[in-house]
Amino acid sequence: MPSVAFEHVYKRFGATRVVEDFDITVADGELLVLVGGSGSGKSTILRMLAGLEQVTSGTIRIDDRDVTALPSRERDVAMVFQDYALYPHMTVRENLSLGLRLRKVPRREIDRRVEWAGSILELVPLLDRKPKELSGGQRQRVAMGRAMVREPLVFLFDEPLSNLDAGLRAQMRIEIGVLQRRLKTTTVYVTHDQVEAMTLGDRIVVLADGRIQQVGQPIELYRAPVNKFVAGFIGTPRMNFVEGYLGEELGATTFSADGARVKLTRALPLAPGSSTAVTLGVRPEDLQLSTSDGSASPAPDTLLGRVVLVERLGGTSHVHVDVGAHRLMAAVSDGALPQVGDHVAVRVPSDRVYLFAADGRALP
Amino acid sequence: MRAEERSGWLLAAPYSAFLATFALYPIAFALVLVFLKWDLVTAPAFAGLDNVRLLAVDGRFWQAVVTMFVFLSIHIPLQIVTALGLALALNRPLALRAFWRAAFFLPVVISGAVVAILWSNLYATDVGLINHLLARFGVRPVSWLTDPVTAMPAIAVMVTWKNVGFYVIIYLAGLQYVPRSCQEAIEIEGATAWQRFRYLTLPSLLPQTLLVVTLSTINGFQLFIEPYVMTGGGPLRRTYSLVLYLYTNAFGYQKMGYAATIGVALALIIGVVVVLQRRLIGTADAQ
Amino acid sequence: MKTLGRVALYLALTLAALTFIYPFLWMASTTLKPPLEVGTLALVPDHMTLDNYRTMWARAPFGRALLNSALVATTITAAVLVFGSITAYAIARLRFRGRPALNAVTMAILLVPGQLTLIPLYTLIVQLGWIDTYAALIVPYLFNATAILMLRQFFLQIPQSLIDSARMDGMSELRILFTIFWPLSRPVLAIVAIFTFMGSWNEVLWPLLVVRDQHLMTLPQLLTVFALGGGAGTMGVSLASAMVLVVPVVVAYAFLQRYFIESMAGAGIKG
Repeated sequence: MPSVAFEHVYKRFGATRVVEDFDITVADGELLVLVGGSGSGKSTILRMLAGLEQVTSGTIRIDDRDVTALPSRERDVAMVFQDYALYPHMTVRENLSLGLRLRKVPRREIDRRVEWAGSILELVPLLDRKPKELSGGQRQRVAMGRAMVREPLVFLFDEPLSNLDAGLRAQMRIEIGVLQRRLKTTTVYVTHDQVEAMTLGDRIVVLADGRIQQVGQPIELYRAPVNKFVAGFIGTPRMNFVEGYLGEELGATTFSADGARVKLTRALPLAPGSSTAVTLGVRPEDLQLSTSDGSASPAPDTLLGRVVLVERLGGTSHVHVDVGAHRLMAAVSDGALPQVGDHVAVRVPSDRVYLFAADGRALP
Repeated sequence: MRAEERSGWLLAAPYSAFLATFALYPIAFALVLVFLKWDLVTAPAFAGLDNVRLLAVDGRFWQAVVTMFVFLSIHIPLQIVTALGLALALNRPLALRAFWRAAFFLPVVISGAVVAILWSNLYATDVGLINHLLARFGVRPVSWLTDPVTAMPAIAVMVTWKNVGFYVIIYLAGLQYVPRSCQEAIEIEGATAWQRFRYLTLPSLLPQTLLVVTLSTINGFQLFIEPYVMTGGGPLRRTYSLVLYLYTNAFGYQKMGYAATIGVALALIIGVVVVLQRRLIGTADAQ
Repeated sequence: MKTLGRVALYLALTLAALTFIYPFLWMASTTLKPPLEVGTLALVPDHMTLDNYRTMWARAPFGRALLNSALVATTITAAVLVFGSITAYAIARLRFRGRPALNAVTMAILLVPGQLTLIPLYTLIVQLGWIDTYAALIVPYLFNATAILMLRQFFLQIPQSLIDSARMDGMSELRILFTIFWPLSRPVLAIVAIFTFMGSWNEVLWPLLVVRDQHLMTLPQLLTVFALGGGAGTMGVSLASAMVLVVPVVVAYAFLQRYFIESMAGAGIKG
């Protein structure tokens, strides 16, 4: 039985359309990530699920129960807020137990659950402190504990790691992942950070302008993005994009753009002699660099360029190459690296190339 | 620095002189007066601790003290409930919000004397507005200001009416600081509107409530023009406030020393009460 | 369902607002009623009359009292603004050895209830021979601790660079205060002006102590004496006298209520 279902959910604020036709089913125990930039509608969707925003049209079901008209407190969901929303005048223990106290859960059961959550999240020594005495990471864990203690049907996370520094963020990300696997509670997780999305999500929903761009497992989105937005959003470092034209040349499909020419080994239905405007996309990690003396004519799938910047990150390096009027970045493993000013040959493997039509759609 | 130092002293000189004359000297002299007997006509006479001894056994003084506590025990809870209720009602996007706020605050800007005279007439037994309205509902007229049981409560209600707008502003300001996400969180946790008020809003407003209590107390102990105008202190001295007693001793009986002693006692009582309130309410800790 | 809640809310608010406004309306209408109609609930009198006002005006010098109040309140307000600014400027921006002490004393003063100093101040006035003079009404109020603290807080936020460059141009401190600080301080000056003026306009206890002569009485004082002394006779007349005090305030309040609220609420909290 699916745990959460959004059926053709729309949200409008006055004349502004914020969410359009959000239709997704979240399986029981799944961690679904909603990812996108600001204004993508991801937070609004989460808040509609929480009951904090009204649905303009459509239905939301939790465990097959229509909750669309129900107030938050009757939905049996628990939410972790971006600013943690801890009650400032209550101790950690009181923060954790309030939800249970409100529902008149027996004292012994409350204590048991608080101890349980406290020990998993290492909050036991902090139980009698007030939120203002806690660090950011500790507050975040209290917020999670508060959600866990309720043993709800669904966990909702609203960018819970955004207010933490990078090191803590990475650590907490792992803890959340481990915790969710262990508790097996259905979770909807909102973030703008695609690394969090890729590492935590069983499935990811990429949103832009209130619309679903693509849904799928992280690796699907990485390997087979359906449009330019998803391709550019998922995967770090970001995919290289070059605008140009597809044409037929000597029986092979060729991509050309301002002095760069790459022959592709796929057959595309093109009218002979025509040229179609496309964007070519290729991931930095798929580009192959080799030295060149700048004069020899390159292989059909190779471009010539000059190195303008080398960023050494330790295990990997980012090499920025100017090819004609375009700049490409290649991610290579640290080893024999070219210097700034060197001529290099950049090989664009045809099977790793993505083509996007003028409207952003991926071409097969 | 020397020029600045000089300018500083110069510019601050008038104020310093003023403070010395109209602030520090009176405070010091008030304490001196406690030990004097003076009617302003003849020369002051040293009276030792006579004034203090008299005060300790002065039934009228202690009755006035009790009267003040009776007043406060009605006024303060009424003030808190009314101000908080109105503030909660106003704390949302509302048409004409500025109008409502202005309406509640109106009596605050009006002179206490006017309010006292107005309410004297409202409370008037035969022709007062309140009894008129009650008559519409078949209720017999109540002698609000002449019945010993109702006189002080009547004044307490009036003073609440006069000042509630001020405390509404204080509570409104406090309500802005209850974080929105906490309100949403507690709702998701299952709180009804009442539970949200009890567990989140009210505790968050503790500093404001303390302020309301403190200011109402200080204000209440200074009650003068209302009993002076409306009841003259009666009936049966039930509305005889401490300041009224001070006034009567000074200008009715010409006993400056004794009146000053009452003033000092009043200041001490206010100080003690306010500190106690801070302790009691402040310990139910808040941010 | 939600609309029902909203309707109930607006109903409750209207009822509440009425309890605050209606008494004044009733007061106004009573003053326009002949003695026979006084006490009826009707807001509009059957026979409107200005007799109450005529009587009141004839029986006691209300015109004079209005002038007295205006004179006293205006003088005090002007003094508080000017002297208060000078003092606040000194305490806020000039470094001199007495500064912390002055600051501390100013804040401490606010903790002392007025009743403590009431009698000594009165005896001081008597000894100065100021009974029944404008001096008695004005001088004790020339400096206002709340105003000074408020102005000080504002002046603290003005950048030091403005003062430094002005000094380099050779400006005296007073010049700096009035040509640079004052234009920047309009909001806080307005706030101070309002609560000072209103405080003085409404003050009744002090005038009752130091003024006996009817011709020197302030408006609230005369009105109190009038109402209590039986000079009023009927409710209509005593309320008419109250109206003289109230109407200017209500008119000003109607136009400036935001400033009134900000001013008097702010001052009350600081005090």
